[in-house]
Amino acid sequence: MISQRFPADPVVFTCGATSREIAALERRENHLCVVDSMGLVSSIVLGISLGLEDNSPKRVAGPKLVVGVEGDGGMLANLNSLATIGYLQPSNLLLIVLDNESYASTGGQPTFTTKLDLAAFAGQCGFRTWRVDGLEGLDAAISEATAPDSPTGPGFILMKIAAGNASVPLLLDDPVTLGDRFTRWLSAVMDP
Amino acid sequence: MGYREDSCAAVVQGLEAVGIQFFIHVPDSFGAPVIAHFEANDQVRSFPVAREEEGIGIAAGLAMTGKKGALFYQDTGLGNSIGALTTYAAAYHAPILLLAIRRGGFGEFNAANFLFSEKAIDMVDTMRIKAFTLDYKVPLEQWPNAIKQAYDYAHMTHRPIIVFLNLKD
Repeated sequence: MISQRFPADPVVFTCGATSREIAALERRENHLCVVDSMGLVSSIVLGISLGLEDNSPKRVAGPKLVVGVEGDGGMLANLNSLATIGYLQPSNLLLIVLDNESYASTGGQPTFTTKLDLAAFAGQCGFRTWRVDGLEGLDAAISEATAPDSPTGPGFILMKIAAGNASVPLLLDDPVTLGDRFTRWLSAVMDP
Repeated sequence: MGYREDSCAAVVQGLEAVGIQFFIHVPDSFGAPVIAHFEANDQVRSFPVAREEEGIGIAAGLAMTGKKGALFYQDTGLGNSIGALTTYAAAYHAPILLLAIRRGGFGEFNAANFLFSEKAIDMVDTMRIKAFTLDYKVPLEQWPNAIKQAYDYAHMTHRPIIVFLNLKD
């Protein structure tokens, strides 16, 4: 659903099973899979959002939104980034955190989100937040977050999901090719 | 002006020669004049990050949009960001410029920083992250061009480049 809802916006996926599963499902130029660097997705999307935001007044085409797809473990690894994003208040950034309350890619060890509400934390940092627990809820939250008349500022959707991974191949691409394909696409759509 | 003020002015001159649009920083007492300069500059978007690793991701994201950015933090902060530097910036060929302020050696007052700083250059060398050093051995008038060259080199060689700076009197 995330891929379908954002066919023309940059979408950055976190490491481990998340990247493996989206890559197994489909390969798109607007997708950037981060194969390691746990927790860095929120910072990468912040950089992209600031770069796009800076262009926006003179840009008529191209993406208006940057989406980061993070896990609960990755988000916990870089909670500072929520404070930084909240401080900078980019208008074009949406984080979707898939929260299975575990490090599913490494054997299902529990994370703090069995007790900690990441959406509450993001809200305190200055995000608009949604909590959803199914595809219908995710669809509705995305629609609200991206509505033209919605308030400005970064968005944060916390989606509770079941633990477990799909049985898919490893993502063995050289990161250079993953980054290059995405950057070429981004350059082309930013300056058509 | 003393060496610290002059060297900070040379750093500013170098970054302005690059034409940076974004200045990402973590506080440092020696580099405070550089931070103050860009925080007061309407032409450059300057902001702090809570931790150095974030800055690597942000700078890499900016680079993908074609924007010119620079990171500015203590070399001790490399300890908080070496993972992102290697597994993201180096792995994805992100051409980012990192200015790392030396917090060891003559003039250092902190009794703990030096334990990391003194090994920082060897560490990034071991990690195969290319670095240059600007200190008293390099005349200050050469610093601005060296910083611009480092930025250009990062882009020409598709990788992060570190410039170590000794800003101490």
